[in-house]
Amino acid sequence: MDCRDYREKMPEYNKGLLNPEQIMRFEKHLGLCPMCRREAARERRLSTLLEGWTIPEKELGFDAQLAAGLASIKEKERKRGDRWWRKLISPWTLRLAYSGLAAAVIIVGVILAGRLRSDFLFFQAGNTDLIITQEMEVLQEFDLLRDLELFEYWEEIEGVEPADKENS
Amino acid sequence: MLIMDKKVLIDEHVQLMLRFQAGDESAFETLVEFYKSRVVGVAYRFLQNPEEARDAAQEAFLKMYCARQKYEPGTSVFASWLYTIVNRVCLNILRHRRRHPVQRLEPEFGTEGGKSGQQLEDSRAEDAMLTLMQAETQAAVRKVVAGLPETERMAVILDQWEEMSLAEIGLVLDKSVSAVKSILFRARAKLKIKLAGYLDQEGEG
Repeated sequence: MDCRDYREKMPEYNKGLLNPEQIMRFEKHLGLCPMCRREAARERRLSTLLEGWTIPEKELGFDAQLAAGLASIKEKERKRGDRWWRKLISPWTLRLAYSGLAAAVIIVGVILAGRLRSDFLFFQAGNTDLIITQEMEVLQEFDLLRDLELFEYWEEIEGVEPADKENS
Repeated sequence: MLIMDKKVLIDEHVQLMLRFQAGDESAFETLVEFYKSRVVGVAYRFLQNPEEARDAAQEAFLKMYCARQKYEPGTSVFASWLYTIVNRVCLNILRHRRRHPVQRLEPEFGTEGGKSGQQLEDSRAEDAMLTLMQAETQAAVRKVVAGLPETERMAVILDQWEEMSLAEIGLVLDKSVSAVKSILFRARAKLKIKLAGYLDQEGEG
């Protein structure tokens, strides 16, 4: 330990918070180091100086104000307590509600994770044919839509239906 | 012995708080009676205004009353919990003071010994000189403490006048023990520099 360490421990030394072994080491150092001895004395004087700042007794009273404030709070609490749903709120019911909420979040998370995992496993299991078939069906639906759009376009341009056109 | 007494006191106050939580209003009154002057003292030294200090103490006890169900004995000793509320109330008052600056009449800290100028004349010259010197020293201490940043100021007040441990101060300021240690070290270093005249004067005497 150097002087800086001893100086950091000075408040604890002055308050008598060090153990006997630390005190012995501390005092041995103070005996050898005049600078630390001076600093320890200054620390003690600072504490004495600060303790000298007392507060006059007359400044410490506030009973009447506190009593008035308490009466107002009690009245508010009484009014609040009269509401039926307030009676249901207690630390236990709140804990129960929080637990229920947490359980709901966990269940939704597990369901979502399960669905993602099953999709992934389905793809991994080599069911690519089925996936391609599904995609083809989607593409066919797009083709049908395009045909429908073309049909409407002909109707608009020529005023005849494609069937008539074929017959003529 | 002192530590033992403090431990017994802490347990007693925790028991009182638990009784208060269970609906025993007399336990609250006992706690207020014990901590009243301490809380006003902390607020007084922090805010350095008697009226604001009394308001802060009152508000802190009212907040304590409202938040009684939030107190958990396992997480902090009662005094730390109460002083956490006091610290927040004092900081709110300081914020309010900054937002709404008004010309405040400085309280007569210089005559805190309780003697007026006339009384001083009547008393013996030596006593009068001593009182004047004490008043001057107190005024200097007050000014220097007021000049500390808020966290350092509260740490010094709780350490010096409330004799709280580093861990308890840490709970109030929401800091680790090592952080409190360095805050106090810094604050005391500043105080020693600013009060050097008084410290060296006493050393010579």
